[in-house]
Amino acid sequence: MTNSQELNYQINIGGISFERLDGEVVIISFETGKYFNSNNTAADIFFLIEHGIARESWLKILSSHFTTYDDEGSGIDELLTMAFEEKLLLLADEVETKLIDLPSDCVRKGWEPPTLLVFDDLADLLLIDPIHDTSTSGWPTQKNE
Amino acid sequence: MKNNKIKIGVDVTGLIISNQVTGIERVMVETNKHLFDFLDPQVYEIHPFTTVPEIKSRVHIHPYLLSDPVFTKPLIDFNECDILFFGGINLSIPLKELFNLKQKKRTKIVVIIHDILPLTHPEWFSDPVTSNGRSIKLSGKNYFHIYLQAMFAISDQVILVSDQVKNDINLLGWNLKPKFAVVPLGAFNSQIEGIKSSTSGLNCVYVATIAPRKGHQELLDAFELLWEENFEITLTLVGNRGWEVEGLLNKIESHPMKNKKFFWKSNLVDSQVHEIYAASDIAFMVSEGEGFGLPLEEGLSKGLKVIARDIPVFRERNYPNLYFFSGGAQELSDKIKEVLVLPTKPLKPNEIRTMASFANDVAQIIKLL
Repeated sequence: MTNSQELNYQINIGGISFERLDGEVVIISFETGKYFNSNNTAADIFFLIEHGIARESWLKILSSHFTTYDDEGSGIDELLTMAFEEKLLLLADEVETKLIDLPSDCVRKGWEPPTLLVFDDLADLLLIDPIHDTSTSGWPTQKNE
Repeated sequence: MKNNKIKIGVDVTGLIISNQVTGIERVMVETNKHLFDFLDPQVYEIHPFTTVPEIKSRVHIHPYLLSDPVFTKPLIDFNECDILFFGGINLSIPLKELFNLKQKKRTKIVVIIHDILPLTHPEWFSDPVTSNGRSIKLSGKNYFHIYLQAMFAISDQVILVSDQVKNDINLLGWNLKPKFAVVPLGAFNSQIEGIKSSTSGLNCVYVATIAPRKGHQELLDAFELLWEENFEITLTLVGNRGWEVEGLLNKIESHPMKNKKFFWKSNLVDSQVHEIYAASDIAFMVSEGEGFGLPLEEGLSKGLKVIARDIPVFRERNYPNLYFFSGGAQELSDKIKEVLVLPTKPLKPNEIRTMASFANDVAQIIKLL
């Protein structure tokens, strides 16, 4: 596994669509067609990367926003490794050592390991049979019996 | 023999999968009907396509949907198209294939976004049943976020049906690359009907799926106030049952005025809805949120006065015979009393925007691609 502790990353802007809403990000890979849905902490990691913040600044930033943040066992390395392997991230040419505020679009309490759910196909997400079970009254509901 | 016409693929995946006739399907069918008129057949060739071709043979398509002229043309592989037109919701977007197609063939993609209400008002929608056996639960809001972002990612041109939708999208603060154009929808019928001359009591109609955000409860409460004052006025609700409305449906079914001064009709065909409009004086558009709200134009074009909730998306319209109310049932009841004595103003030809105008604008956008 890559030791990403020493590495800095940048968003692979040309290869993905990356948007944040209410403390979560959705990433779509143009190359693989996969969709990724983050939890709040992963969204914050991507926010720091998007803003070119050097990893050495992350401890202070995250500690000031999360009540229980600890670098050790944070799960950040695993996230970065996965995101790099999926080509969502590239190694960064340039980063800045500075402190910034995280977006105020969600409530932060204790730190939770950052996760990215991966979906190969949007349609695969639905358990309903799209032919027989879709609603008469509009997406995304199931048909009323 | 291969021709040099520009091949436009019209996505019918959503039509086939939903196989129902709600607002979006009607908009798609009406748009397609007019596109054949506005896009020169010497230059353009219009075909249906689906991103899930195997479903077509499994579904007996609704007769109304089959009235879409696009179904008279052979189904085409989307890889053969120069322009792909997504007019409705398609949850089976083959993202990787479409990206490849755009890169290799420079295929242009046009998408209509009807609203982003699952993002702005997730409380109005149920969560989809997700995970496919995996221990993953995705909210309807997340699901729609993914869908919307995917559509923006593949599109060259996005058509929005109101300024409200445009404003809602701008508020997301996303990095949006496609071109955006606001093209309002319009009434389905192109003939504006004469002024109503009903004098024998007053009849009112509200055409909308029975769903919490549509404001049926408030409307019914307002009418109860009128009936308590012995107003000779009827209310007909036209719309199929939606979701999370069990309480309201119980009230509707057991209402003491039901089938006396209060009526609920569902699963009607267009001609039956037309008859109800023809017998009515006032139509309502009391929904708390819409991407557009077509019943507003529908009511006006049929010669009715329309009372709409005072929200920005309805205020985008500037039509005669359109009135607004703010507040709750009491204010709505007061507005009905005020409007019912007002004369209906005559309409000029083409004064109410039609779906033909919408489709014409869409065709012009397609020509510019």
